[in-house]
Order: sequence, then C-alpha cells, then structure tokens
Amino acid sequence: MRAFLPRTLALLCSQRPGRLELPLARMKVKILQWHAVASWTWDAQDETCGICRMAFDGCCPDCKFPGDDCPLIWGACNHAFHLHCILKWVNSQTSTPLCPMCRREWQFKG
Amino acid sequence: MQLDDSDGALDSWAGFCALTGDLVGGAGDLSVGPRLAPAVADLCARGLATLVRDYFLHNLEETFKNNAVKTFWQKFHPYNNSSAVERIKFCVQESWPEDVLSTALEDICLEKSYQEKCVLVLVHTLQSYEEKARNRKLQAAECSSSLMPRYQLMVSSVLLTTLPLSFPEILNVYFKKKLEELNTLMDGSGDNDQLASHEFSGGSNVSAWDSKMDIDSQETVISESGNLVKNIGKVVRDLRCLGFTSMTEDSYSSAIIWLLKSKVHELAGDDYRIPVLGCVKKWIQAVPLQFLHALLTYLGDSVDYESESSGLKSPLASRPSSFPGIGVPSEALLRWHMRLEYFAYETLQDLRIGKLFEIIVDYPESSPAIEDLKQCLEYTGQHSKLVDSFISSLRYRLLTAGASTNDILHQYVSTIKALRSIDPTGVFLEAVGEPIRDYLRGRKDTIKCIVTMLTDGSGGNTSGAGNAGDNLLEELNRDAENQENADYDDHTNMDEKQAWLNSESWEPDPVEADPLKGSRNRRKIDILGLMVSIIGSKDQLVNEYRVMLAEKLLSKSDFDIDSDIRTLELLKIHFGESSMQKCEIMLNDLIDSKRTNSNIKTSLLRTIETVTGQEEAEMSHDVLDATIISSNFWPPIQTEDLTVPASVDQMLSDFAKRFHQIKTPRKLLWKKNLGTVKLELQFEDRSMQFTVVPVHAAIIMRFQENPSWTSKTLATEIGIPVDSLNRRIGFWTSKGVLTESVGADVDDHIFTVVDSMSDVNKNSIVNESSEAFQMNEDEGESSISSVEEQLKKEMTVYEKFIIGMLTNFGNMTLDKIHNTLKMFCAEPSYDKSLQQLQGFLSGLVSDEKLEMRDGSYLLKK
Amino acid sequence: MTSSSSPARKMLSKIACNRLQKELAEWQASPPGGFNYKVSDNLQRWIIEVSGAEGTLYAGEKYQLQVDFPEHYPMEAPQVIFMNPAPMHPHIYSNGHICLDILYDSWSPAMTVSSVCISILSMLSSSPAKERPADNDRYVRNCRNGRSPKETRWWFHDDKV
Repeated sequence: MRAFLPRTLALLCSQRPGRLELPLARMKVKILQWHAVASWTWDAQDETCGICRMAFDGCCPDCKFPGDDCPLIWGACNHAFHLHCILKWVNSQTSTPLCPMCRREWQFKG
Repeated sequence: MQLDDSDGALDSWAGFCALTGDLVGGAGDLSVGPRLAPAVADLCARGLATLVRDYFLHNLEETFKNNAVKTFWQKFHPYNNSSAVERIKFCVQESWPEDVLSTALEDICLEKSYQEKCVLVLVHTLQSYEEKARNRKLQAAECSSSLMPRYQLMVSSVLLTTLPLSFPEILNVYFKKKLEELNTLMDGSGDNDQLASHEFSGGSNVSAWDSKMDIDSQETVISESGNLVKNIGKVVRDLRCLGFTSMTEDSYSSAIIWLLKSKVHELAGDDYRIPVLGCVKKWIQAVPLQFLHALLTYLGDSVDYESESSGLKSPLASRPSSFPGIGVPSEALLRWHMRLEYFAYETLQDLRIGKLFEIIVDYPESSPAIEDLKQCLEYTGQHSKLVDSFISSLRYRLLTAGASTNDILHQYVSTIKALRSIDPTGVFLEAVGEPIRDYLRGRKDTIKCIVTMLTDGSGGNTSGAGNAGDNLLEELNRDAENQENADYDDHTNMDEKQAWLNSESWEPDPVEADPLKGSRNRRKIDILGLMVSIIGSKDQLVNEYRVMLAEKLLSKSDFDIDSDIRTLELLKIHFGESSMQKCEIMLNDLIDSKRTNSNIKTSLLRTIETVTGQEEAEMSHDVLDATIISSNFWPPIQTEDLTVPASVDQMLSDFAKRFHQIKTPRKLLWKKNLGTVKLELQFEDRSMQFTVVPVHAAIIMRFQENPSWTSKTLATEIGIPVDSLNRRIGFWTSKGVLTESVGADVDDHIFTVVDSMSDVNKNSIVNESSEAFQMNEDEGESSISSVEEQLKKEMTVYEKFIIGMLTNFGNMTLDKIHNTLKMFCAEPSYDKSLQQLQGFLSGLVSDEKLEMRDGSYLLKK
Repeated sequence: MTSSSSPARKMLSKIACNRLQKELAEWQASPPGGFNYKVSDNLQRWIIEVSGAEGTLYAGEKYQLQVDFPEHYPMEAPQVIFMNPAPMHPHIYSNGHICLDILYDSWSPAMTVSSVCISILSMLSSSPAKERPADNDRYVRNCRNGRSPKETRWWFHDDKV
C-alpha cells in the first residue's frame, strides 16, 4: 500500500493545474466583446448597374445613401439594376419595356 | 536851446558818457537820471539820438557781460567741467540743480532788472525830448521805443553766445525732477481713486475722473502742488526774461514727454490682462495738464494767448467743455492735450507692437491689451508698423524648425482672432497671415493637425498652451450661426431696395489693402476658410478628415457617434453637403450597424434558446458586435487574411447568415483583421483584461489549446506571414503573458504561456490591472491607408487618361490637363489639386513616360 | 475645338451627366479601336473621328461623327450623325443621317457611345458598295430645315448592311 502512495499523489497533483509542468493548457481566454468589421455587398453577378454605370454597392445618381435606400431589383431574365434606374427606363417606354441588357420583355422577378 | 559849435557837442557827449558810466556802473543808484536829460537832449537835437542809444546799450552790454553773465555761468561751472559720471552725482543730489539754478537766476535777473531801470531812465529822457520836438514840429529820430526791445535782444544774445553746451541739459534735469515731484504728489492723492476706477470701470472711461475724492486731502495736494508749480513758474519766468523762452519750453516739453513715456511704460508693463489706455489718459489730465495749466496761468498767458491761431484749430479736435479742476481750457492747453495724447497712443502702441507675439500667445486673456492697441492704431494710423514688426517676430520666434505644427496653428488661430478685433476688414491679417500659411504649407503634418483640431476636442498633443481644438470647433459652431444669419439676410431681406442700400454703403478698401487680392476675400474673416487656404483645397481637407474619421470609427467598440455627427453637420455647413457625402454615408453605416446588430442579436438569441441541448456555447452571440460598412464610400481599407478560432468563426458566420436572411440579397464580407476585442486571460491565480485587435486575440486564443507554439506553425494556423506574426506576438511577450525562446531552428521561435506568477517578473504584472482595457495597437499600424499612399494609388488611375489625352492632343499644359481631368473623370472622380497633379506628372516625367517642353507635357517618344 | 454653337438644348440631367463622365473616363482608358475622341470641354456633344477599317471599302478614309446627348440620356438615345462629308454608304444619307436601329427604336440604356461606335464601324465595314440610299434626295430635301434624324420614322429594311 505504501508503495502506491506517491503515485496516487502524483496523479492527484497532475489533475490540479498550476502545480506541475504538464502539456495541458491552463490559461483560458474569455472573450468579453468581439467588435468585428464587415462590408456588405449585393449578391449580384455584375458589379455595376447597366443603366447608370454606377457600382451596385454604391447608389444610383439620384440617391444619397446606398443599401436599403437604393435597392437592386432583378428582372425575370436575371439581370439586375438599381430599382430607381430600371423604373426610369420602364416608365419612359411607350411600348412594352425590354430589358436593357438582353432586350427580353422586362418583368420584375417575383 | 541854441545849436552851438562842435565843442558843445563834444561836451554834451563827454557828459553823457560820464553819466552813463555812473548810471550803469553804479550800484543801484538811479539818481543820475535827471542829470542825463540836458546832455541827451543836446545830442538828440544834433541828430545823434541813435549814437546815444547805441552807446548806452553798448555800455550796458559790456557791464552785463562782464559782471552778471560771467557770475551766472560760473555757478554752473562745477557741473559743466565734470565728466559724465560725475554729472550723475550732481543729478542725484536732491536740491540740484534747483538751488543753483534759482539763485543764479535770481541774481542775474536782479542785475537785469536794475539795467532795465537804467534803460527806462534813458527811455524817459528820450521820450520827453521827442515830445518837445514833436511840439515844435521838428524832425527827430524815434529812438525811445526801440530801446527796450534792443536791450532785451542784447541780453539774450549775450547769454546765448556765451551759453555752455550743458545748460539745456541742466534745465532738462531740473524739469524732470520737478515734474516727478509733482507726479508723486498727484499720484499720492489720486491713487486710490485711479486704481479703483481702472479696476472696476475698465479704465477706459475718462469721465471717471470726476468721481468724488476726498476733498480735504485734495485741497492740501492742490496747495502743495500750487507751491511747487509756483516755484517752477518763477524759474520759467526768469528764464523767459533772459530770453531762453524756446529753450525753456523745449526743456519742459521734453521733460513732460519723458515722464509720460515712463508713465506709459510703468502702467503698461508686461501685464496684458488689464487695459491701460484709460489710466494713461487720466494721468495726462491729472499731472502734465494740471502742471501746464498752472504754469501758463502763473506766467499770465493762459487764456487764449494764441487766439490769433484759433482759426487753425483742427475741426477734429473735440473741445471738451471743461477739464476737471481747470475749467474751460485755453487753446494752448488744448493743443498740449492733443499732443500728449497722441504721444501716449504712439508710445503704448509701440510698446504693444513690440510685444505683440507674447500678447497673442496669451490671447484671449490678453484681449484688453489688444483693445488698447486697436484704439492706439485708430488714432495714429500706423498699422504698417504692426505688420512689419509682427512678421519679423513670427519669422524669428514661430516659423522655425523647433516649433510644433500644433503650436504654430494655435498661434495662427489666436493671431486671426486677435487681429480680427483690431482690424475687422482683415487687411493686416492677410499681410501677417501669409508667411504663416506659407510656412505651414511646407509642413507635412499640417493637414493632419488641422483635421485633428477640427475633430478632436483635445487638439492633438498640444504642449499645454491653450486648447486650439476647442477653439476650432467653437469656430465651426459660430460659423454655423453666421451662416444661418447670412442666409437670412440673403434670402429674406435681399430685395432690390436692400441691394441698393448695400451698394450705397460700399466702402473703398483701406489704403493698406493689397490691390492684387480681391476685396471679396475680406468680407468676412472665417478661420476655417483660412485654415483651408493653408491646405490648398477643401477637398484635401475633407479627404484627410475622411481617413481620420474612418480610422476612428473602425476602432470603436461601440456605436456612439454623437459628437462625430455634430462635427459632420458643422463641416457640411461649411464645405457643402456634397463634399461631405461620403463621410455622411460612413456615419450612417454606423447608425445602421447599430440597428442591424440589435435585430440580428435578438433573432439569434431566440434561435439558440429554441435549439436546446446545444453544447454550452463557449461564446454567446451576445459578445459579437459588427460595424457593417458600405465599402465603396470608405477610404481604401487594408485587409489582411486572418484565421480566427473556430468558435469565433462560427459566431461570425451565424451573424452573416442572419444578415443575409434579413437583408437579402445583401450579404456580409467579414474583414476579420479589423475591429477590437475585449478579452480576459484567466489563470489559476490571476486574470487580466485587455483590449486588442483581432489578430492579437487570435494569437492568444491558440494558446488555450497548446501552451507552446513555434512561430511558423502558429503563423500557418492563423493564416498570416511569419514576420507579421513575430511582430504581433510581441504584444503578448511585452505584457509578460508569453515568453520567447529559440528553438531547434534559429528562425523558428518558440512561444510559451507564462502561467505562474513566479515565472514572471513581478513588476510587469503589478501594473496589469491598471493597464486593462487599453488599446494597444502596434505602433505605426493603421487599418486605413495613409493619404499619401492613397494619393499615389489614386493618381495612377488617372495615368491612362492622361496618356490618352496626350495621344489625342500631342501636348497639353498643366492647367489644361487639370481642367480636362476635372471635367471628365467621374470614376474615380478627379478631386486632386493642381499641385498634386504636378507632382504626379513630374513623377511620370522622371519615369520617362512623359516629357516636358515649353511648359507643356507630351508623350515621350 | 467645337464650341457649343449647337441649338439650345436642355441641360443634361444629373444622371446623364454622371453617366457621360463615366463613359468618357472609360473611353479614355480604353478607346474602341478605330475611333478617336476629339477632346473638348463640351460634355453634351462629342466629336469622334472614325477611321475606315483595313480591308474594307473605307480603308484609309476618315470621317467624323457628331454625338449629341439628350437631357435624359441614357433613357433616350443620343443623336448620332456623320459630319460633312458623310461616307458613301447605302444606309448613310448625304446629310449625315444614319439609318441604324439602335440609334432609334432599338436603343437600350445599357448601350454606350463606345458600343454605338462599334456598331457604326461594323455597318461601314460590311458595306458591299459605296453608294447613297435609294431615297437619298427625297429624304435630304425633307430634312432641309435641320431636322433631327430622331424625328424620322425609320423603316429598317435591311438587316444585313
């Protein structure tokens, strides 16, 4: 019995961090706040609007703020434009409006 | 009486000569007078009246010269014969030169008055003869009337021809001493009153003189000073009597001026916080004018003795109805008053101009001195003195390598403010400001400092003196108010009638205006405008502001941007809305981010609650905040790859997924190297808090899994280059959290967690708690490209346009290239200054892409 | 330099202005082959030099296009005409008017000056003969008062040329 004692002790000690050198990590990192930075982007194929030639991630020339204020819209043909740009085009057409990119009849993607 | 032979004439002449000798040489014996008459009458009848007169005068002259004058000058010999040093000893004696002067004057005047009596004897004799002759209708030369004036002339010419050089000096000393005596006397009486009035009424009010005084003490003072003035008056009268009229006047004038000058210096001193002009003016009335009044009265020529010249009186001189204690002043006194005031203004002005640099350093505490200076300059019109002197002190004291840009800017702002109150038209400011602006243009950090002053209340690392930042912000505020007022004026009141009135009230530029500089620049002095003119264009300032704003916003750990919004609103008023649009979008991003964050967090938390049984999250979504930017409108951001620990990555992608759900079809792209992380390192025996950048967090979090890492493996894990890792990890070793040791491979360092207090240098730990929550970014690192880098990159975009234009045109001047780019470059829009373009073009020339010939650029063949 | 002696036109809208600046910038960066933009300070009227393509009837010849932009460009097509002398071509009238659908009914805001230029060059290049349109005289007579080609009711009969 006596012969076991030191080993038991050693075992006990090994489970108590900070006493002996062991490969186990004894430092814990607690994250209190992680303030990250991200940029947003429109999930579109092209980078710029075919009508105003401004970046999708920017805004159309009539808008002040990008993003929610100047949204993109997709046509049935999958071409995207700034909502304000395509509306101007559609409203300026007397006959059936066509997609400026592919000339297919313009329909808003549902 | 019958005309005899020539013998009779000789007898009469001999008798006359003898009697004259008796009379003139006699000690006060005038009894010979009546005996003189027959001889004189005889000689006159023989037509020798002028001979009689001239002989008599000559006789007087010899006597006067040999006796009175010699004795008179002898009294001053000890002084005249001493060296300059010894003369000072004389001057220190209290009674010198008063005693000598008054006794000498007394003696000589006594002698003179005796001689005058002699003259009168002859005058009477001549007169009675002339009268008789007139009765008989005989021709006779009129000699009696010219005798006295000739005598007086003789006296003064004798004195003046024998005058020792130092006599005017003696007179000067005399008057200085006497005036000082009088000054002390008056000071003693008016002291309380004067001090009180200049402290409480600001001293600028002359009428404060009238304030009640203690009448008794005033009376003693008046009688004392009356005696003093009487003594002086006597001396002056004697001096005048001897013909020293103008010398005397010069002497007491210069003494008065000297006293005034020392009074101004004494009052003004080096304290700029109290106005002194009022005191000086009051003192002029209290001492020198009282003195002059008393003196002139004593001499009997006080009341308009110059009345014939009153037509020359300047219409500008407002004639005070009365002077305190004097009543209606005489013309002479008024002239004196104006002369002394002018001199006081000039003296004070010179004094203040000489110290203008210090005064402006102390501005606005020193505004009383500025106000004084303003009044002085209005009176003297010597503004150019100010400009010249101030520019040279600026060159010598401020515009040197040793002065920090912040200090120069601060001094410039104070200069603007101070000079603005002296000269609202801004003409002098323009002259003075130009060298400062020129100098600042040569400083690299000028823009940065200005922007810091604008955005940051602290004004950067000001070296103590004043708070320039606050001033500039304040200035923006005031500007905003002005703008509103101006708008009101422009739109509401500007009908044609008003325009007509405005045009009628047009005033020509002050003469000092530089005609090359348009007067419209001087309508309103706006500090910000002047700041912008240092930089060259508002676009550069705006650009620098945008970079600093971006940096500030990206290192925030909250969304509190109220002060930035306020600054932006002010800048918008000043620079126009369109110039500030990008900045506005940046701030708007922060506002949006705050909203989006709370939306996403609430929805994420709800989801997690419903998905029960999830392994107890190491990190709650609560700890994550995200600033979501519209990157097109932000300055270029330096992104760097970074692999964050899986737990963090999970959190980020959850967040991004939710964003995509809420904002379809928008999605998020993380810039993982940016942001701030607050974390706590927990050890067995201690814990420490830090605020760090994500890469530091990513590094230290790896040490949870493994207490030891080699730099190479850790760099791979984190996804950054080894040299970058070695640089970043230094943060943790410097905090005593990790230790570094060299491994098997020399290039590969081993880093190990220091997990026990005993292993660490205690000192580095002691401060830990106080260091918690400190941002410790590696020096010189920034998430935003500097303006210089940006500029170079941005300019490169224009290179092909420029090459294209030159291909079309052959050659173009700098201006033409600049204007064409300005007109046609939309994306990216061309917002560079002419100087920036020139710099870039000369770069292209040295790269041998372009050449420059006759002021035009063309493609290198 | 062509200063704007053009008839009074409405100023470009903000969108038009923005877009033209971009187009010009793109043009400067990569001009379409065979075209040369004559730099001027007039954003609303561009003068572009066309060089006939090698191996075509117009090889070695140079013509000038005048492009005028309407207020609501690109919602409306620009007016594109050849300046005198116009090339001899079955779809180009002697007054410079061009019979090309994309300039009129088939205009799309996705088109640009550059793409229009390329279409015109390809029209030139595919010409079988240097000749005027059959109705040239009548058409030109009708247009005498400086009528814009955009007021013409075009009837696009020939798809090949």
